[in-house]
Amino acid sequence: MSTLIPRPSSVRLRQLLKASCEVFQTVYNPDNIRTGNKILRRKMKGPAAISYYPIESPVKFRHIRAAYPMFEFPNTPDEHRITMNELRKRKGKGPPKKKEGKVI
Amino acid sequence: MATKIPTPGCFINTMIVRDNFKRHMAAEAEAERRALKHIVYNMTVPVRARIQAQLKLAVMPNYTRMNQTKSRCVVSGKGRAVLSEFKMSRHQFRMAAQNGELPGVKRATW
Repeated sequence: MSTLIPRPSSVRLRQLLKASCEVFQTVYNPDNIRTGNKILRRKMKGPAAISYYPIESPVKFRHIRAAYPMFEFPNTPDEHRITMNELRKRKGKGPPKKKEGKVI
Repeated sequence: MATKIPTPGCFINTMIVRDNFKRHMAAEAEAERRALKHIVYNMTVPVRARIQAQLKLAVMPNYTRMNQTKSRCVVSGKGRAVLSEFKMSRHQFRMAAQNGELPGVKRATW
């Protein structure tokens, strides 16, 4: 005749689960109640979002120019702009003269 | 505003300024939003508190929402066709890649 192994009571099983959770440091939620834990588990996106655009450099071209006055730092884009404006003026396409007052 | 939002060091555009502002505001409010959402989803909290939390969440300004941030091209300010790995729109990416400015990027052939 086979001996029947008695199944532990549900109370004892819960106690076991609780002890197991304490040992392995997991959350004890035997009835699977929605505690909103999944919202807290998510990673924060703030720091990554802020660092998308690079921070403005505190050192600018004019600071370098001022710091080393003995060296020449040509401002190539600005010189190009000035050259183009001079060409336009030669063609007669420069900015018009400012009028003194309203002519009614 | 208490803290000044730092100016971006890349190409500056109205849309980039707006997006930068949203990113900073969303990051500031992220903890509060996260807490409110947790209250809403928590069934052990009384119903009244959950409803109040939901209303508070709905009333928060749009610039505190992380969804509203948009990845923009850092060189041209374009909002469409932006590759997240390079933070550039497709044309700027193409120009930079052909100039050799992007390490390890070459024309795909296989």
